[in-house]
Amino acid sequence: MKQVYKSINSNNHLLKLSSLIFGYLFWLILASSQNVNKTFDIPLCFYSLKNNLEIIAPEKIIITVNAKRSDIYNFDLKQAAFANIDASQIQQAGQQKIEIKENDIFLHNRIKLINYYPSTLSIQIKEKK
Amino acid sequence: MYWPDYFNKLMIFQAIDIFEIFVFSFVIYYFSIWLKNDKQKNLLATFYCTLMLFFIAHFANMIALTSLFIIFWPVVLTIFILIHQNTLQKNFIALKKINVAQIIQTSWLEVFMRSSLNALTNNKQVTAIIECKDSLDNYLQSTFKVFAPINKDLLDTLINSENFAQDKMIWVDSEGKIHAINVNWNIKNTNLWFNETNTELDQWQQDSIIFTSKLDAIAFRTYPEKHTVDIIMQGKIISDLTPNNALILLSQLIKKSEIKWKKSEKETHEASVQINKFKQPSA
Repeated sequence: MKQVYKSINSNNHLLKLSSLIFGYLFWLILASSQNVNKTFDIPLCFYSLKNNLEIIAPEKIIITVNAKRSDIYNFDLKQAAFANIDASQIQQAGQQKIEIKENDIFLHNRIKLINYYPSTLSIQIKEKK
Repeated sequence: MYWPDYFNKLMIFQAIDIFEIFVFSFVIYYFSIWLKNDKQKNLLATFYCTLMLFFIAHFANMIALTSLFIIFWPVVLTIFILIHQNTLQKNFIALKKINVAQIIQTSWLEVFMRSSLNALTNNKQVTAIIECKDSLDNYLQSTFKVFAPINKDLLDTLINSENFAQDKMIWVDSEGKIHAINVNWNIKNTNLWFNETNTELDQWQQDSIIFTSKLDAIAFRTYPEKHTVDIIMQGKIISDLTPNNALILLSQLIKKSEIKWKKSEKETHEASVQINKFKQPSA
């Protein structure tokens, strides 16, 4: 252990840097094909809302997905994923609760949805003046 | 939790990924250090070139070459070990002589120097190589083995015998044993060590500089014309010393080598004690 500590503590900065680069590249080769979970927030949209109503709701929801590391990297999830909720059932103003279903969240078919939060949205409906 | 965006750009999505990268880096770094410390043949460049080739093959989508590397990696590693087995063995097993603890007697050096001075009066030059802690078995070739403690009569007999070749070396060790006479450096086995030649120096000086730069051996030669002594150690040459100064310097160098070796032995012992402690199951 003493020798190991000594070698780490030595001043071989170039060797350390090159080992870090090679270590990263090695890891990348092995890890890029592995499935990983990633949690991030996606924008929340509503469609088919009656013209005389307006919605006050959170702008984003948090989702956790599982996919290949390279797929998560290649598809910019913050851009490519979103939740689109049908608001045609909303008829009148007031406080309402809407359940988000899995089908409401749009993802690339190579990316699997694991979890999302919140599953029920509390929204405020107002009439347009 | 805050996660920097540049980590995402490097495909690093979790803290555990950083740990994994450090594990890979540490293994590569430790292996590199091990290769770098090789005194004989530095395989670090070969290792890095192989890694580079592998990464280039992978990231440039050279499928056949990448497959070759991945599938035949154990074969490549075995071939690598087979080709460099001698070098690698020397890393695993420190080729040091194992001696029982004893007080280093340097009085043999005076006897040796006296016999060398006697040889000078007979117009004979004497070249000697003193083996310290690095074994010279692989690096010297001799036809006349002796293996006897140094004494004046024996040395005088050997130096004055018809079989004694002046241009060759006498192989002695730091404990005062004479191993062989008419010894040459075994250049064939170690021709990859060094390619440069210095035409201003004699062949034995060139060879001795090469070998002493890698080993802790000390070479010296007495010159009958000038009555001087040249000493070569650690790849450096000290010329035109008086016999008395040469004797003092040689004694100091041998003692210094012994102290250095004892220090490294102590460190190795402490490390092995620590490892044994670690290995012992808890009661």
